[in-house]
Amino acid sequence: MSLSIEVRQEADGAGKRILLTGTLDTETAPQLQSTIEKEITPDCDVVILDLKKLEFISSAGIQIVVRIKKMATANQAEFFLLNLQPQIRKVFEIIKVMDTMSLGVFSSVQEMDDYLKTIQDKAKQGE
Amino acid sequence: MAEDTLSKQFRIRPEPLASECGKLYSFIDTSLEALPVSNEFRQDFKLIIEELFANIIKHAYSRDADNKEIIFDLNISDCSVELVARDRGPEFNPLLHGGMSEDTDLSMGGMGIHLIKSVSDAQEYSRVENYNIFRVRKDFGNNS
Repeated sequence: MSLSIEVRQEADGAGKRILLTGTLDTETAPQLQSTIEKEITPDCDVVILDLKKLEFISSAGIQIVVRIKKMATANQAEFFLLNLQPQIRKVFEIIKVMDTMSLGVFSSVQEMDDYLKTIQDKAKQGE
Repeated sequence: MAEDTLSKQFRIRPEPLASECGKLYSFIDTSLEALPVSNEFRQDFKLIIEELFANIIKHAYSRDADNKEIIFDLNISDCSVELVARDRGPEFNPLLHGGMSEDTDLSMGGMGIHLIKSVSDAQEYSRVENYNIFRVRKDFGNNS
């Protein structure tokens, strides 16, 4: 089993979407760790972890996700999980990490885009 | 007495390397192939074997240990699947040392035994002739 990582710049230029395909476990977690250390820079406003094609996650993978959340928070960036498949969501729910870490989880790109637009509109009104 | 028609045993001896995870998943897939269980059941067992293996390779053997033996046996009966993990590391019962609390720092690990307990029906530790032996059982039938 392997992990494929694709990093895309979001349309507004300030966000990064990290798409994972395959397995996130003890073997592949270091690969994601290396990627996020390079990609999550202070100028990122939003970090999105798209898990649509992630088939399996173990506690080693959860550990890395939590670290990504902490890195994003340290950079004052928003962090979201997108498209959790049922088995992936089950592992997150067992660990209760979504509530503990206040992770934003969205079922679709549209749902996330709507949320981000709401946030951006509120920010503009506050200017 | 009813005949145990599904009874089978399988064994794998992985090297103590993270790169062996893929072999363990294939082992589970192959061993459970003929069983009338759901995909979720199979995924749960992949999670169980990965968490057990990760714990062993992280804690059981020092870098210069001579014998880093790891054995996984999968015992299938008509109503349950049991995974038995054996290693020759120092005595360690994860049931006593694992678990999570509200203060658990999730970025540092320690979630493995909690996950195993959540997706299985029984767990048992024993120490026999310098082996740590950890058994995990998951029943099927009505709950698969």
